[in-house]
Amino acid sequence: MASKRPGRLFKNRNAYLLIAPNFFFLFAFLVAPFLWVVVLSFQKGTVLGPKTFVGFTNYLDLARNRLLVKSILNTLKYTVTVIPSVFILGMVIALLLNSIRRMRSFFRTFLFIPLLSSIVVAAIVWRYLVYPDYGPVSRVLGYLRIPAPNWFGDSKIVIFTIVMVELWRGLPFYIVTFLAGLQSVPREMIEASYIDGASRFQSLLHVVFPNMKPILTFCLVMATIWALQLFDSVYVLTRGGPSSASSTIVWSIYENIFFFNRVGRGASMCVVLIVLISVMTFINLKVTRFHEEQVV
Amino acid sequence: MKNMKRFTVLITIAVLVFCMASAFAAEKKAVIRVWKGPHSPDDTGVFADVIKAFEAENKGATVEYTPTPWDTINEKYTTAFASKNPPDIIYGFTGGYVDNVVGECYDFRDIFSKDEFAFIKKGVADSLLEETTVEGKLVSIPYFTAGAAFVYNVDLLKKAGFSKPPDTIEEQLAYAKKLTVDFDKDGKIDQYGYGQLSYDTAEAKPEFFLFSFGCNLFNKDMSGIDYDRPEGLEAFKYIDQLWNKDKTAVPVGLYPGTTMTDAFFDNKFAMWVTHNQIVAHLKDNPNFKIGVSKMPKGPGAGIAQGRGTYAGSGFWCIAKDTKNLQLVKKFVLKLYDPKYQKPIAVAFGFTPSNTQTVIQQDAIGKAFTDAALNFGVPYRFGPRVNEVKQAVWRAMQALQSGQLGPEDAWQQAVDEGKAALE
Repeated sequence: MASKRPGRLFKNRNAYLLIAPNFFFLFAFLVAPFLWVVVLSFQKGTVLGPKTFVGFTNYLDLARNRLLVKSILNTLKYTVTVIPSVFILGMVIALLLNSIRRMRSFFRTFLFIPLLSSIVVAAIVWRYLVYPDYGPVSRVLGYLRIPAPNWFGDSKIVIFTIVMVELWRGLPFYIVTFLAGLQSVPREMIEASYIDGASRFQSLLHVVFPNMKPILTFCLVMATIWALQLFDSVYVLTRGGPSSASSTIVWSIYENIFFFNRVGRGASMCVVLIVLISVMTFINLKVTRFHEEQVV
Repeated sequence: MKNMKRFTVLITIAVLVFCMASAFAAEKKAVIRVWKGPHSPDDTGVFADVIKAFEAENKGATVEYTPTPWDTINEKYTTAFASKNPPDIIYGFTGGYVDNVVGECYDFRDIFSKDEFAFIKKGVADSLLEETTVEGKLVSIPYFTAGAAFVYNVDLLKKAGFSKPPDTIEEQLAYAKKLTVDFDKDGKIDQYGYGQLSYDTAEAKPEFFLFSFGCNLFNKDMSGIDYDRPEGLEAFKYIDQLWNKDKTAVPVGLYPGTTMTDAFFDNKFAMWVTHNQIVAHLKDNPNFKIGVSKMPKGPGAGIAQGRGTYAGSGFWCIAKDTKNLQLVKKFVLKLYDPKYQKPIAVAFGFTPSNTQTVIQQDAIGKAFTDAALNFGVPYRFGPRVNEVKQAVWRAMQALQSGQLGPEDAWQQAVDEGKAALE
């Protein structure tokens, strides 16, 4: 029996060889840095200077760090706003695109354009568009006698300004994915539901959506991960302000490491973020699997 | 066939010799990398002469000058030093910009000979050396002295009936009220009395409000904060008066980033505290009449006679990881040579820290210099400077944007400042 094992390994050597580079890069650029971050999270010191082991002190400090709590709340506020928005708007536009016969490819390509631009460029353009006094959006609102909001200076709306920019850029991904999902639902099933007397809405709810479940689950998981990792647009548009009103978890990590030179605290925040993402992903998958089982 | 083989061997040897010669030549050519946050749209051009002179004297050596944007300076420098591939020379500045990395630079006393050190130190007051001393190491010698001053739009003040800038902070409130105007009576203010540098430019430095009331960010030995006194709260109440009660100051976020400068030249507000870099914009606005003066006097006589504003030194540091120390030292000596220091200082509107490098300044430059030399309150180096500074800025921003009242904002600044130093 023992002599069989090397034989099996040898038999699958091509497969192992093929995945080896991938595994190496995964380890070198993901697993090893993550382990290093975990080690750093138990240390105190500066980025370049010496570090000392402090046990769980960094984690205990996080609990009473008002800024981090605010950043977590802001991130959650952003997440619960942006995810329903991309799902509802993305699905409505995908359904509209799916229902038209002519120029569908043109619209699909046209709507995909924002995704091709980098988020930094998109954020800079949006920043100029909505400048409170000089921006074209504010000027148009001025002509219409509608008072332009202080997009970046009003702490109550600044996070929604970021949602708007992220929505503009991120929506095409969901539209195209949902459209692909809609087109993969067998036409016969939809027609059969109509024959059985189902309305358009009932057919959508009981035939189309259940068939799209894998795609919807994938999109939900990815949207959650991306939302929790929000950084680029905050960096370009607000730098966390005014007064931390748009500070997110990743912004807080960046600020602690590069501005405050607190590498241990930043690393412990990274670990918290990874745990948060894992928990949210696990809950998402559990809930959708539970619903799948209910449907079956 | 035999000839072909010989030919191939010869070609191979020739290629190898060429490669080795190139590699040797490349090794001979030394590149000195210099990084500095820009103070002018043509920052590179300002250093052209000194670089040219250095390269002419040191054949095979080239200087690669890179202006590094201020808002990303911390991460750029930190990652470069952490990767052990830093620039050879960096421009440091008191103000929490490069605190992370100056500890990774040479002590000037260790690398320069007595004569060289005397040449660099010539004309620089001993008291200024505190600004370039980090944990007992003298990482540089001050090169420039620069800072902020009270800047105003002469025409707008004249139109409002003021022939001179406000002399006290009470007068400043009255000026701001009169200068805040809704011309078309549509309920939207068209011109504000007072403005402040945007927080997102990392240049806001609103702690001068604390200075006016006699408080600083840190106590003398930097072991604690200094604004946890009733005077600190008074500073927050003054900000509340300008922004929330009188509504005579530009709301936070109305002119984000550098548009604040455009707004000043567009007559959108009349007075503010800003840096000497404003002079670089004057050539684009030749008809604009700018006024520069010392800060309006506050009740806190303990700090800069109640007229305190931010000032600091700029200086050149040499990275310990440099591979061309001798050449780098030569270039630094060249930079500190009054012959080259003078035109560089003039181009940026700064004052050379070497008092023997005399420069001719116009009235605007002189006013900035006077503000920096007579009323400048410098930051000091320390691992927590940025964190305490940000705690104060964040609280002031919360007050100015109406998130918190003056008492709560001040308390937040105190709590966060103390927590940063724990």
